[in-house]
Amino acid sequence: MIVYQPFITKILDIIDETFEIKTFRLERPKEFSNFKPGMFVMVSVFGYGEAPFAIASSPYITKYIEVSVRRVGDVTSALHRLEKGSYVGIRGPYGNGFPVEEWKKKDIVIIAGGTGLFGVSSLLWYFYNSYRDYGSIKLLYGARTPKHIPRKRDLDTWAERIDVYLTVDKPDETWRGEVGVVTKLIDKITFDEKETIFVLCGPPVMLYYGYLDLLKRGIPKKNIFFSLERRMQCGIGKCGACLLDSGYYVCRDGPVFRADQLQLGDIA
Amino acid sequence: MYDDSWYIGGESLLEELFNLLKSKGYRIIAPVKERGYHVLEYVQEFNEVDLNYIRTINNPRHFLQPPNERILKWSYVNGKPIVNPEPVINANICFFGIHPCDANSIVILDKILLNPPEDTLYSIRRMNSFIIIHDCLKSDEYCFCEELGTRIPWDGSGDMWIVEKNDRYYVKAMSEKGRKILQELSLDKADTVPINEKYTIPNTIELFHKVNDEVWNDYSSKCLLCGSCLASCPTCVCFDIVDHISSLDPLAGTRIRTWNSCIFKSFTTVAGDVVFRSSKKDRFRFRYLHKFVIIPQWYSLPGCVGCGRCVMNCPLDIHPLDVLGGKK
Repeated sequence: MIVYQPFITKILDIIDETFEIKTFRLERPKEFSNFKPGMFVMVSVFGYGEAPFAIASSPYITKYIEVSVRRVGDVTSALHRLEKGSYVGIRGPYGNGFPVEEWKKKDIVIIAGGTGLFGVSSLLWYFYNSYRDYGSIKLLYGARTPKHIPRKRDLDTWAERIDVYLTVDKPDETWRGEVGVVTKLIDKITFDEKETIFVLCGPPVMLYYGYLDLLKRGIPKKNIFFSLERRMQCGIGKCGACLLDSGYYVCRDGPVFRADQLQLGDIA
Repeated sequence: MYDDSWYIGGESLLEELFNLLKSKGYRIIAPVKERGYHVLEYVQEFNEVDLNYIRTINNPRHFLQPPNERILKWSYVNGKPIVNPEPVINANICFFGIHPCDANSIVILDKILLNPPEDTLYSIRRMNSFIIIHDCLKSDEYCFCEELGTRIPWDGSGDMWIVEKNDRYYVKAMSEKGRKILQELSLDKADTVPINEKYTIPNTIELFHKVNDEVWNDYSSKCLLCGSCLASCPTCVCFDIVDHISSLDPLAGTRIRTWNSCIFKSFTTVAGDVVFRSSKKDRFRFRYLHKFVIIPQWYSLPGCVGCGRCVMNCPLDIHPLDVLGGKK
């Protein structure tokens, strides 16, 4: 068995999320170990290649795992062409995951933008189940337009136990909610500046401005966490594609980092 | 602990050693002179070997982590992919007569690729390899191992070290594997030590952080991004994994590991054409950052061994020590 050999697994279901995003429910290989929220997998479509995806389903589900995929490159387009019942390769789970044990009893604010929601979906499922161990939990989520919002059924479920705030950059005639970038939602909520844990996941520009905004509000760096995205070939700290200026491999040492581990250039 | 004292060998030492390893089934890789250049190649006979060289065009990485290496094959049978890993040739290989700098480069490859989880393709080859270091007989204007403190082979770099001095061969074992082979040669202990010089490893982290923006702009705008330095670098370890569809069967193919490097945009481009380190300067600088800051921070070793290949091959003569200001 070589480290780069994927397990072959079946697509149990495909859920259309938006016009460009599908969720793939994959049978979980027997050999697959348990995962912590925030970890990721490498998914292969043979002939097209392999790409990293955050595990978007609950860590408490053992039968399957889900990845939500935006159709944007070679591998993702190939995935979108597949049908229920077909097979893909999968290896992992990789990465460190969120330090949820350290956060017990604390208030949590999760800020996500675009497909960054999938990077924190497993965390949101974790909090949905273990919410009693934590203080208040809030999700601030921003999408481009209402048509871009994925996992709506999950957002509804999470809202039972997590305060969910949504915003869109451009509203349509049906939209009754907030309009503007996701960082504007920070003004809508109250939090303890010194104690609250902030988690950011989204496009580089959102991470950058979100981070600067939080620093301006006096949030200590040790309470700000990022889940980063990078190109990855190996997933195990060899290929170098995800190596940050600060010297960390996103795949092996991340994808979750505390702000004081990183340089500003690593974030955007 | 193995005996690491120096022994003395006669004129025919190298040939005896060659034949001994060959008789033990080692496939021998040695410098060979071809059209005026030295190249590391598989050889059959001792007379093909030419140890009077400065540097080989290729380096040990070409054998330990070869370019375009097949990782696995797949084929679809009734709609289901069947995956088979490519067997790594499980043969004993011997690097016969590589220089200290190249041997040290293997230590850096080891640090990265054998760090758990091991890169299994590399580790099989590495475990099966026997490394004989032949000390340099000469150097040229491109060599900078002395400045980087990589002149002497590090622990773990080789199994045996041979120094030719005053028409005598000094030999010492550098590993248990090396000691066993050395014992079979039944040599006398040397009464002198062939090499006594000490070289200090400069603080490349400090040097890097002293380089100002102007210098990075200057050198990176000169750089043509031709990649000659990367293709010849013994410590450049980064790679891509790509799928090649079989030309005979569209439902079958091979997954291949190819070399790629941080100076190319493609290396960090994610779906949606987002490029991390999009400027040439950032990418040029990152290569130095990896070798002179990140590797030293992780492993307390310089990430460059001063073999001089990048300088020799650079069409614009960009010298890492000119950039870092560490030239003596």
